[in-house]
Amino acid sequence: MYNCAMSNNPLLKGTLQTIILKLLADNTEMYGYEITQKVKEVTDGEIMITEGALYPALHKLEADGLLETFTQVVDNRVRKYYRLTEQGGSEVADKLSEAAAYINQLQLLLNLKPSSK
Amino acid sequence: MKLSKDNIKYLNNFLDEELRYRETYNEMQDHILSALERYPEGSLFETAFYQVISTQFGGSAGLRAIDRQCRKHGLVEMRKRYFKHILEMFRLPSVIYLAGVSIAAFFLFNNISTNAIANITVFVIISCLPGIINGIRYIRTGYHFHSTKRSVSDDGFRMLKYFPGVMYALFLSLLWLLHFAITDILHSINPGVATVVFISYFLHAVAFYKMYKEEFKFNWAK
Repeated sequence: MYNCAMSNNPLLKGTLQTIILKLLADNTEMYGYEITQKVKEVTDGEIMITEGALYPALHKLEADGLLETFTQVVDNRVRKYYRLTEQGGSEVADKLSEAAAYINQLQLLLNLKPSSK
Repeated sequence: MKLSKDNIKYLNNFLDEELRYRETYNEMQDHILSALERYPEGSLFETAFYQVISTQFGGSAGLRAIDRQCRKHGLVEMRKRYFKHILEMFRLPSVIYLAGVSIAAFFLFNNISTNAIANITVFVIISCLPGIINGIRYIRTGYHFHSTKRSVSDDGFRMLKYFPGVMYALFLSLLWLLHFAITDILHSINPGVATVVFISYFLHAVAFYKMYKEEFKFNWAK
């Protein structure tokens, strides 16, 4: 099984924000650990987001106004949840089509896509 | 794995040593505890703990890097909000109030322009206002000096609080460097210039106050 950590794969690093935005679009609100586990679960453990990459990305999206946060006390500790802002919600579609176009081009360039001729 | 009080205390002490900011501390504490709770019962705490820290965070250096990034992005976000509040003052209906304050300030400075002490007093009051608001902010947060971990917001508010004072000091230093007699300039200050400076300080104080209100409205301070 190919196991890939987000911190040392430049291809995945470039799509981290898109992954986070899509997860939050599908799950309304999530906390940091939940995001890492969700990615692991969806990809059967093949892609793992390292915390060193996740939190700076989350904080950047928050600073850019795409995410907002709120806290809740769970088991005597403060849990910080992230959710999409209105601006973040409209950014998801753009980011997804950007990623789809990029993957398409990459498949063409690397001859991964079967020729349609 | 069920964590004991000692385990949690060990983690808290570790994070306290490694991290500077409350926001990162709370978030990392929740993350690490959530990760440790997923370990099977009977796992050794120390082994699990160091495994989480080294593999998921890249050790202490990784944690400190997250702390620095959190500060950087937090300050960027605060700066954006600050300028957003200043720009809002130039939109209707705020701009009408701002025009009223500007006219009142101009008439005030036109009448007291020869009194340097009065000019200085007005500027000092306006520039001290953010400091007073920051003090109230500490009280409302329940801040205990030397024991409460500082937050990125604390740093941001402190930097903003000193901003007018720094500008004022730079202005006076410039006058001194250019060999101007500071007292002469303050005595003969043009009412128009005094109004512009006053309005700049006023906008700063309003933006600062709005950020303070916002912080408690959305519970960011805790």
